[in-house]
Amino acid sequence: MEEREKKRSVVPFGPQHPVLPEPIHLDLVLEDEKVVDVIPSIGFIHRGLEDLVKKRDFNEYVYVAERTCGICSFGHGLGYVEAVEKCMNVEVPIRAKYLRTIWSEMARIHSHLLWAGLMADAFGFENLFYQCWRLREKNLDLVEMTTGGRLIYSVNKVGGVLKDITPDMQKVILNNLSELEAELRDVYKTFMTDYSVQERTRGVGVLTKEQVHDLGCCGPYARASGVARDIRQLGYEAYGELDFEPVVSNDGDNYARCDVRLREVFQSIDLIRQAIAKIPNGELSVPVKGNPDGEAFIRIEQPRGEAIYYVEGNGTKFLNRFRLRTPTFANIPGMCETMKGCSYADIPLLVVTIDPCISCTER
Amino acid sequence: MPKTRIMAFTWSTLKNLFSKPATKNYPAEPIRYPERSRGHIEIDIEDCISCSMCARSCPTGAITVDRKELTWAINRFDCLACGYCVIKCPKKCLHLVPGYQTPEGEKKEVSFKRPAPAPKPAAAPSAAPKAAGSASAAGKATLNGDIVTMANGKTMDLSKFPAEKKAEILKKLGLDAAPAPKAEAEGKATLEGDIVRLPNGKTMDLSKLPEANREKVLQKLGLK
Ligand code: SF4
Ligand code: SF4
Repeated sequence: MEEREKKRSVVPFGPQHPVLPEPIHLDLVLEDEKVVDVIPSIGFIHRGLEDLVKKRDFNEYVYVAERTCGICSFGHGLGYVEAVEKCMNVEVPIRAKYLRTIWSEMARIHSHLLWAGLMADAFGFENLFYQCWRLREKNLDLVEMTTGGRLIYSVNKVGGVLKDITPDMQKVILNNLSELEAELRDVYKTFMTDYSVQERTRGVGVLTKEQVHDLGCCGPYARASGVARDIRQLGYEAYGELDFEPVVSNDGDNYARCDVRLREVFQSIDLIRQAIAKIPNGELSVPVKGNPDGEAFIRIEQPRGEAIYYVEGNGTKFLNRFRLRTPTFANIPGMCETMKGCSYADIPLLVVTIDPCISCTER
Repeated sequence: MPKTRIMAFTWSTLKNLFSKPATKNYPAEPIRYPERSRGHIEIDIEDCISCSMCARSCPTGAITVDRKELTWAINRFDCLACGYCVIKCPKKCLHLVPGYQTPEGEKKEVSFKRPAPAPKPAAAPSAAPKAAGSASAAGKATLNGDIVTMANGKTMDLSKFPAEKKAEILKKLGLDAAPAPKAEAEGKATLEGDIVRLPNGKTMDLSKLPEANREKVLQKLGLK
């Protein structure tokens, strides 16, 4: 035993690392090339955004909440306004619900394509990486056309949305998404069948269904291990009126995660089509009177998984508390579990497969 | 399970190789922003009333409004282009327009000065606005008819108060010795462009009168 302990070495990984877009630090305990233990630490980019809710009034804070993250920005804005709306008993017009759903799905397409690119980059397939981001650009153009921003949407407000998607825009959206879908099939085929991709993804970082339950993982990460849990099925916004099933895969390895996320892009395209076909005419927002009082709790499905929003008002225009639990935070224990027993060279890939968003996590 | 292939991506690669580039040859080729693009804030400064609603609602505090200097300034590097000030502005004189802030060596403010507001007609004896002008420069409270404007920009309507209270407030603010009542006491009319202010507070627009009558009126009032 004594001798064995001596052979162990601790290698620090991050917060700055070529493969990491965002700072997380891992202390990797190695035996030769094999990882035996992982100690994660976060806290490098804490910005105190939750506390800012006491200094910005609840309408103004929407813009701060959105800026929690550059990728799930729409979702964070949405989660916050939904929580405040629930707190104030505001019923949002149906058209606004559909618009929010469309933008949520655009955010998902964007996020998953970005992730696919990063994943391809992490296993060294540069060409595939560029292709994913080239497709993502098409989606970003749609976002820019409808909201005015490429990453930060700024269209949510307490009581509805600020901008409409006109019939002309709907046509452009459907058209561009069809192009995107056609090109994405090639990318999907490459991820699923290419020899070199499979070498890096198949059977690496397996997480079982039981582990997902024990460690409380969420989102595509959990669905790749066969857990059919998708918060959109609760039917918030317009999801209750759209037809979809959670995308599930059973292998629980990197390969399954690629599969789930890319299939979710197709699903999102389909959901946008359904929403555009069903969207009713009507108001974009309702006037909101008074200040939030009491508390409210909301769950929504972000591209990365289930996010939890909590607000507590005190009858003034400043909230007492805003709390946000991000999906990455829930997935970090799962990630550490998958690393045990794998080789050191797989670590970057395993970090990327949870689709980490550390700046959301630390807020 | 799908079967494993080698060079699965080759077809897409070849297609990309022989198709138009996805990127733009910027800056040779100009960028076209969509209509809704949130680039930067522009202001119609003539319409601004210096109410500071925009400055108070800005999440980053990028806007500074100075009521006395009549300026509206924005630090474009702090602005997030969120558009909340545009929603909040009561005069709808702010606009979020395409075109991003260009990089610069240092953060700086861009300031706009609005033209001085036109004098309020018939509200006060002529000397009062003059006194107001000099007092505000010194950071003092000013009087305009029954409205007192404090040095901090707040206003107070004196007509709501009883007469003794009013005098007391004026004394406190150092406004009781304003030259305005004096002019009134002397019973003299004053001339401002074409507007004659009579001692009883009424005004008369000379430009409406025929030339000959105008001379007569002025002589009568001892202004010529
Ligand atoms: S757009 Fe937003 S950040 Fe910019 S000045 Fe207006 S309120 Fe402030
Ligand atoms: S809110 Fe509008 S009117 Fe008021 S100070 Fe700002 S720009 Fe001027």
